[in-house]
Amino acid sequence: MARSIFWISTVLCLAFLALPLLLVLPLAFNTSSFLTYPMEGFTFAWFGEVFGQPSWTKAIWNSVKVAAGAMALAVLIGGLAATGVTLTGRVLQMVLSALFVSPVVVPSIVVAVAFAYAFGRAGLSGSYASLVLAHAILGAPLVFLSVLTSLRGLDPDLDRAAASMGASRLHRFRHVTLPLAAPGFLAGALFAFITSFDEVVVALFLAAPESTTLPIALFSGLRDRLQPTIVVVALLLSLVSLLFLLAMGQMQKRGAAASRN
Amino acid sequence: MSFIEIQSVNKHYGAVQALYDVSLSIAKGEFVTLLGPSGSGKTTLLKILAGFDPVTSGTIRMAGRDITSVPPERRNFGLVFQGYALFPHMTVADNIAYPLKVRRRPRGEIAEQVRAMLDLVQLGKFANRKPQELSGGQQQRVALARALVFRPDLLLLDEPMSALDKKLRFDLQEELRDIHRRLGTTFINVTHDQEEAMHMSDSIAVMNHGQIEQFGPAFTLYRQPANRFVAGFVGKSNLLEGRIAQGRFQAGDIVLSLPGAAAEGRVALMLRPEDVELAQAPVEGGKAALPAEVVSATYTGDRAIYTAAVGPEARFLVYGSARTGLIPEGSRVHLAFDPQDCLLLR
Amino acid sequence: MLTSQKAHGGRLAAFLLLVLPLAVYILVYLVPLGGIVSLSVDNRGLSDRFPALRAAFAQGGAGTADGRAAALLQDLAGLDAKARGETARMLNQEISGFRSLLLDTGRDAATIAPTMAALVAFDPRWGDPTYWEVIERNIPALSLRNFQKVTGLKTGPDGGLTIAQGDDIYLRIMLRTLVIALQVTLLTLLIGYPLAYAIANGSRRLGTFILMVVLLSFWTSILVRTTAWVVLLQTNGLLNNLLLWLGVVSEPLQLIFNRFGTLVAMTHVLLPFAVIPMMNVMRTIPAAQNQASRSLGAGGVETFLRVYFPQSLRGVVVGGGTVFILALGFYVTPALVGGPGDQMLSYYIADFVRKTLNWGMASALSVLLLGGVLGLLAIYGSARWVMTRRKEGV
Repeated sequence: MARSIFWISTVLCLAFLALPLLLVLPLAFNTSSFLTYPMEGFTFAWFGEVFGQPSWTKAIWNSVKVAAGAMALAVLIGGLAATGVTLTGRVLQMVLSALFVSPVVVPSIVVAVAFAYAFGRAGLSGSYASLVLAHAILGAPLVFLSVLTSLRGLDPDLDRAAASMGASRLHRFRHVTLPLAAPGFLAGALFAFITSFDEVVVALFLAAPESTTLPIALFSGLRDRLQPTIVVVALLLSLVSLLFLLAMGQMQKRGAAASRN
Repeated sequence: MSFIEIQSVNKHYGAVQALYDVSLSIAKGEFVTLLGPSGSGKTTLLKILAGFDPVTSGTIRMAGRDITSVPPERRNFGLVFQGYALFPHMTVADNIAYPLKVRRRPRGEIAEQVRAMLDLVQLGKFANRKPQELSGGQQQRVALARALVFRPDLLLLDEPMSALDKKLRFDLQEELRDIHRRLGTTFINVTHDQEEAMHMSDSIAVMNHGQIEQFGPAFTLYRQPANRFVAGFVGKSNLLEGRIAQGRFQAGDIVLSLPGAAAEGRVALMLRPEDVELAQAPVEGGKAALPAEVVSATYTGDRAIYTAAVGPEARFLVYGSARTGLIPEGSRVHLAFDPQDCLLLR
Repeated sequence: MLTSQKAHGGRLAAFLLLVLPLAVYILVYLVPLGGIVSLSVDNRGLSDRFPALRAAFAQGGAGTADGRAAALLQDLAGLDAKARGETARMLNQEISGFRSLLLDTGRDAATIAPTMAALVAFDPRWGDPTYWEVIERNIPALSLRNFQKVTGLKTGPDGGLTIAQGDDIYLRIMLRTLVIALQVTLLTLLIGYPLAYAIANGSRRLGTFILMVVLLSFWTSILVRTTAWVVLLQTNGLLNNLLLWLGVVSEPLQLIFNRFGTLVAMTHVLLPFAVIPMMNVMRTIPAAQNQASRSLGAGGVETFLRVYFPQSLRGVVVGGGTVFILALGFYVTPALVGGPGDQMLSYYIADFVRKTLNWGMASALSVLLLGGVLGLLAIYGSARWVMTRRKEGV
């Protein structure tokens, strides 16, 4: 009996988790403009429409630009912060870590309002820079945690060994610590990119018509009219997530292989 | 009349066979140890006895009743796990009360038995601690109390000492043997530590490659090993591969006269290190003597351990007295032993 | 000597490394957050319009009745019609009737003699001290006016707090936010528990597969998953078509833009946040725990209830807490699949900014939401601290 409870509950819960996307995303290829089954035929026409419309292509391009900029900035401040706090004392480290991680727990609507007001007063409203700055703050905690985890995972004897051979602090950091913590930086960079690429609420408050990102375009599309192009965009965003997950998996596999050697 | 009867048990994990036609009879009240190196199948046999793994073929009987497919919770066997598997969210007393609670015993009886059990393992004042607040040895005793409180028909112990240090291990072995004597429950212990096995058990089943190599009391296993594996695994031994014909054993240049030996052909001659003496000159009194050279000499306090070379290939391990110091390395000596102490293994 | 030099070098390095991140965090993150906190109590919109009156009140008891009357008339005369309207509207929220009083007085401010007697003669209401008290309370540069409006609390004439009838709309929205967050939390735990259990205890293949699905879901944008539910739940969407086809219903059900749609979509979106912590805790429960319980005589169900479930509770608390905190601040999903009666606090925050540009109210609601979240985190943090202390403090 216990076994049947296990299987029934697992299958039902898994279906709830997986089916919505599995059912909806294929509709991107449906010839009909009605978003329902049975599918009438297979077509790439809606993809053509998305890539043919400047409003969509502009949004895709904006998203890539913003995510790339936010990622670079997040890696810089998150990486520096993580490396820096490892050198501080216990109490300071706790306080600083709480500060650097805190943007992930503040409700996004609250940061959105805060950014919108502050950037508005600073005359940055609607600019590409405001989006990059805001998304960098949202991505930095992920970089921070990821780098901090990989720095803490390092064997302290490696640094001591390098020191015993006469390497200076800077040299050790540059040639021993940094290469070993590189996977943490890389994972953090991916986290920061995907966070910015998928972000809606803050962008909703900051983006001007010409700096609209893909999620914002999708959000307004959804409120406007449901059509297959929306499912196409959803599919594209899911593909980016899938790629991200595959990249992470690949890195983990390589990391595991490296630590086994 | 045997109490636990294991008959022709085979166990496969997919394509891998873990047990080959294992049969074993255990008398009521006996303390039996399954001894073997890792991968020998001893833990598999224990899991099958406990009911966690089904057999591929064969039967297990207890007091004549077939229990092969009885689920673990209805076997009424106590089990002490390797990592103890104490429930971290319950106190020591609650852990010990658990088997009585699930048997719906009355409250008063539970409290009384738990107290008695805590006294037996001398943990009375730790009743309200959580298991993770106790030392390894104390945790082990809680696990033992929990597995015994419901008067199981059989107690299974899965390498119960492996996580403890050597000194503690010895004390707990004494204690376990004492508890066994007092309760009279049948115990089956699994270990790879032959000292532990010999210290506690009435009988030992030596396992290797999924088979039982020999089953008997410690003395028999040590003095009369059934084969080369048992001879090598239980205690230290010198094994000399050679041939025997008409009471004459020959291995390379070494020739020994073994009157009364019935075997003929290829054999291994086994000689325990403590049965050999290092003598400065050939000794009298019917002892055999082989000229040798001391290759290494080690002082361990209670004795001296020598390696002596006989000819170019054969090396002998010899335990000697260290009361008057060591015989220096490089000394020419004679290995003296009683031919009666030699055992020929096929 | 050597060690102190080393420590000094470490502090310098830490300082150099931390300067930039700290500067960015302070300028781009802490200052904006502090901005909305101060914005929520910022009353300069009103107070700047009464410079003379503020000066008069600042003199304390020395300010004579005539002095106050003169200051009021001076301030009102300085306002144009638009500013006068706004001021009147804001003060009218405090006490009804103030609007006409202020507008009338303001229009004729230049013609009234600067004495209290003249003012009362113009409109006898100025003789009533209540109106003066309202002004005095509402013209400081800092005020809790926004919070009073948000909570529906009003300072009565005697200075005590009362909840004004019909003004508790934001209290009801906060209550609704809490209820929805709680419902979503329970649903995610209910659906997430079996999944986490299967990942931790199923066969290797099954566990890896489910974990992949959970992670993929976790990293797929909230918006994309909400999109899927919009497509599924709409009136002529997949689910309704399926139900019609099966003959379960004869006409499409209203599945979206109501509480049902909100709960289903939010549960789906937040499910991974519940599964992952539960799974992490369950993975630390050794299989020997279940075996031990079985060998001690407990059946499968009893083993689960007495041994497994209590040990997995830690994960349930972390997962549930995470989902609850995230749900409190949710915006995108309810905005897209909820009806007017299912909108949560964040919706109204957004509304104030986007529709009326009322930054004060948006900030006050934001501060309350942020305070709630930080409060919950503080409770959780101190609970954990107490637990670890108890574990260590043998």
